[in-house]
Amino acid sequence: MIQIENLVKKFGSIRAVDGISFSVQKGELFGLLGPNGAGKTTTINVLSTLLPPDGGTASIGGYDVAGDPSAVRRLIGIVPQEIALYQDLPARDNLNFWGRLYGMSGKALRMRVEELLEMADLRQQAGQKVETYSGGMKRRLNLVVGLIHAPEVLYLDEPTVGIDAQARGRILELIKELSGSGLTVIYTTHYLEEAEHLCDRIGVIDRGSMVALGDKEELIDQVGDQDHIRFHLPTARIDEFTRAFSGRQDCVVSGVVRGKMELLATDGARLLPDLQSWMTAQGEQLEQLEVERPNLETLYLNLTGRGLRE
Amino acid sequence: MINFGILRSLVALRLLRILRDRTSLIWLLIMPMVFSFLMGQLMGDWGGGSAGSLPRCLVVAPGSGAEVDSLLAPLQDNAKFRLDRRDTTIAEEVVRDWLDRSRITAALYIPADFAETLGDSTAAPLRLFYDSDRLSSQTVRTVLEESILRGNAIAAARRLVREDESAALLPGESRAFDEATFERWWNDPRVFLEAETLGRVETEEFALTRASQHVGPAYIIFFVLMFLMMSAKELVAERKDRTLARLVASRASTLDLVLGYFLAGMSVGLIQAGILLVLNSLAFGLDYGDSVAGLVLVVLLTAGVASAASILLGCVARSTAQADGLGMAVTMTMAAVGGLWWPLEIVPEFMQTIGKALPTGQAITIFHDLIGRGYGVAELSPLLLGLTLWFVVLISLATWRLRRHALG
Repeated sequence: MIQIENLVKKFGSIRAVDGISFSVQKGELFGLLGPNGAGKTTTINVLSTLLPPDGGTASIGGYDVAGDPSAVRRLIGIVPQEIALYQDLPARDNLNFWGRLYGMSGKALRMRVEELLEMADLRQQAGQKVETYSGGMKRRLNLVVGLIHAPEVLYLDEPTVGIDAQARGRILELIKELSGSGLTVIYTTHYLEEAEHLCDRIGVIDRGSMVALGDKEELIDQVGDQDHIRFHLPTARIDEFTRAFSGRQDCVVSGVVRGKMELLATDGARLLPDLQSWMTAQGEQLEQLEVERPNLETLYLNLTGRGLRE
Repeated sequence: MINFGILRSLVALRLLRILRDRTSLIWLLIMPMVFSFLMGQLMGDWGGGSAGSLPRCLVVAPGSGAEVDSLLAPLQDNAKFRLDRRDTTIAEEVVRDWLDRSRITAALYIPADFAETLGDSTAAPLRLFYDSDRLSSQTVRTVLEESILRGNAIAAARRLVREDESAALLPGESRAFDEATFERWWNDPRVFLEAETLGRVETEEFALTRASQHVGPAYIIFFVLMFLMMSAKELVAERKDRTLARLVASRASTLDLVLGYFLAGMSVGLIQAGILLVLNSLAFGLDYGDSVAGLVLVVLLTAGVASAASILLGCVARSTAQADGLGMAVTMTMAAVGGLWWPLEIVPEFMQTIGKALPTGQAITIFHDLIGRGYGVAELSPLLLGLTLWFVVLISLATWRLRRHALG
């Protein structure tokens, strides 16, 4: 459904999108994961025909975004990160406006508006001005406005930014439902738990480049399946510790990582009692202990040396 | 290919948003009406309330007397000029200069011995300096000639009566009106006018006579411009919250969007102007002249220029606060320099030139020409073309900037 080959977008000398390639199958929910400024929104802007690409190609449903933008626009719906609504109007008027803009009218428009209000759980508040809504209600309306014309592809650009956990859960639930209905979705986020929870496949983007691509398991395999154990160890004990643990089969001593001693263990839970015993024997306390299962954050850290929220 | 469904949706949306917003309605209709009424009252009527705004007819009359008062009486209350009577002599060179620089519209010299001359039954010449191209100046001459004619008729009748009284009349005898004698006296007038025109060729003078004739259209132009410039912040907000991006990514083309925004703004401007035109006509009895086509064109172009300027401002401003500040600054400057707060006709010539280069100056001058001079489309065409040029430039820039800045 979506094919992107070596896509480039420059702003002056800055390459905001630097030769990324990926494809998304029909009905797939594809996550574009990366920190702020990684190039996610720029990619969405190019795919939405809002920005012309400076290199490479991108096609939606077989239509080139640069060569046939009108055909692309008929296929896509966008849900911007911002609340792109007329806040001085009620939800129903907003939906009616966007529906008319897409050439809908009469009974078909009325039915679609009611269907989307139901989907967003906003039927009771449909006559109230959007500015009186809570953050979660605005986000839900923002999302369903992108669906008014029943697009084949939906771009969701960080649709849960700035809302509480409960409201976020409702939005994610809604997106799951949409994905299940056969809609092709590109979902950008810097919340890795959202990407892990929702997406069939994930592309990890950093400084405009795609640094990893695959389904969740494939990506985690790239970091290996070892647990990361970190704890505080006085400098004087480092050599002693390394000698004691480097001969073991069930772990590898990585060294000092972010100010702490790090071990990579095939089973962290089984190694911890041995570690506790050794520290006690040395007259030390096991302090500032961290045990980390491999996840996308680990992958991102490994690939970029930075956290997703840094 | 323009999509009229999209244009209709955008116009309907804009009107719906305004109708739902009480503050907008206040600035759209209530404030223009209040300002037109208050300013009309404050500035008074040029025909009555404020004689100071009428052209001045200087009367140099070192002498006095009932004869002088009688001569000047018909010139006292006139809608076209006001009398400025001086009892000291002013040199003719000075008077000519004042006339040339439009400080006065005419100057009448009444000899110091005017009354005595009449008493001696000798001729009394009056000297008038005027400008035959100016309506108020012509009016001075006409009214003065009527006054002299009346005075001469009375003088001829008195001479006839005096002559009759000198002849003896028997008791019970009456005498018939001696027409031949009266005609003799009539053909030998006591007072006559020596009029001298400067012969200067001048465009037709400012012919508005009531404050509402300026204030009415000026506040229509001002509030149409102000309301639309103030609404530019909505476009900035749509850029910032990416509603505009959503629109651009919809099936609407750039042309659809620009036309949609433009027609939406223009519709608002036309509704505002239409209502104010009718109210000015009903409340202040304002007559917009005979050229309906001229009136329609100036209103259309004014709303069009304001709407295009609003889109351009909405695309240029970086924030809603900046749009508000810039919009207000541009509106106030255009209003002041363009002659919306006071008629351009009363400002120095170089400021008139600058004012008439601005769309506000062109629009108000067209209104003045319609109302005060009864011009039609043919006479208005240079100014209408000027407004059209402004419109073309602004809408072209707005189209260019809208697509470029859709992403905020």
